[in-house]
Amino acid sequence: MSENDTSMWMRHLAALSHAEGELPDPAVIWWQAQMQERQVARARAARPMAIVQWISLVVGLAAAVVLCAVNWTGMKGLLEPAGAPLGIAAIACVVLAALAARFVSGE
Amino acid sequence: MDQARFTAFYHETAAGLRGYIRRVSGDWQAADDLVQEAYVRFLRAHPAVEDSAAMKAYLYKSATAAIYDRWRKKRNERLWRLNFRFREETPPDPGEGDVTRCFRELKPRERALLWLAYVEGCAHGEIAAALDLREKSVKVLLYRARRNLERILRQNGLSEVES
Repeated sequence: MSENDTSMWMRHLAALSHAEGELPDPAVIWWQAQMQERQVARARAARPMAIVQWISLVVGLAAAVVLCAVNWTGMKGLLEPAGAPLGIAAIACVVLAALAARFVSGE
Repeated sequence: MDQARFTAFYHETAAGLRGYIRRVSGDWQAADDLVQEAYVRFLRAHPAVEDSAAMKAYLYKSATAAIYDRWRKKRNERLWRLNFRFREETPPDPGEGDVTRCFRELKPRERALLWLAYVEGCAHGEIAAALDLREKSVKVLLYRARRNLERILRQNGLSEVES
């Protein structure tokens, strides 16, 4: 098959391929590209804020753990009279706080 | 690139690009979606407006990437459904002619090469840019694609052009 034969065959195939069907509207494509561009720009602008939120969450949790560890004796004396229910409530508060922080950072 | 320039470029290239996508992907139903996807990718890359040949090459590169991404997505969906008998294309249309069927028997890259070279009339450098190949490889790959097409046509008793 020579170059000319191939060329002729391919042009015949192309003629069969171009038929029927309206092409998509270029205005819609343009708009779609602009929208995607804006979404990407928005995500890029929000990224430092998300990073700061995560850092503040980690720092906050670490500070809470350090404070608890430093004042453990005092806390123990405070919690002991109330017994197990207060301990469970404290754990529930910590879990809820973590979930709330996750929810806020996910927004 | 402003909207007016894009619209002009679109009218100049869209019909040819849709033909390319239809033939390379083998999926006529998804062709319009892929055309849109290719142009959106093209616009988001902010192409240099001055060089129309480079713009066209980049457009075809975007289209080829969109086709491959679609196949990859389909393959992953099939894997998730534990359907491992993967075929990268949709089944042929029942009404398709011999010419179309023969062309589908080629590998996707061979179809892309032949289309760009003989329908779009692209130079080897443009084909290399569009298909992410080295310019030197294009000549050899084109030769092989031509030989394969010839073999398929002979096997199907189609040495002459017919529909």
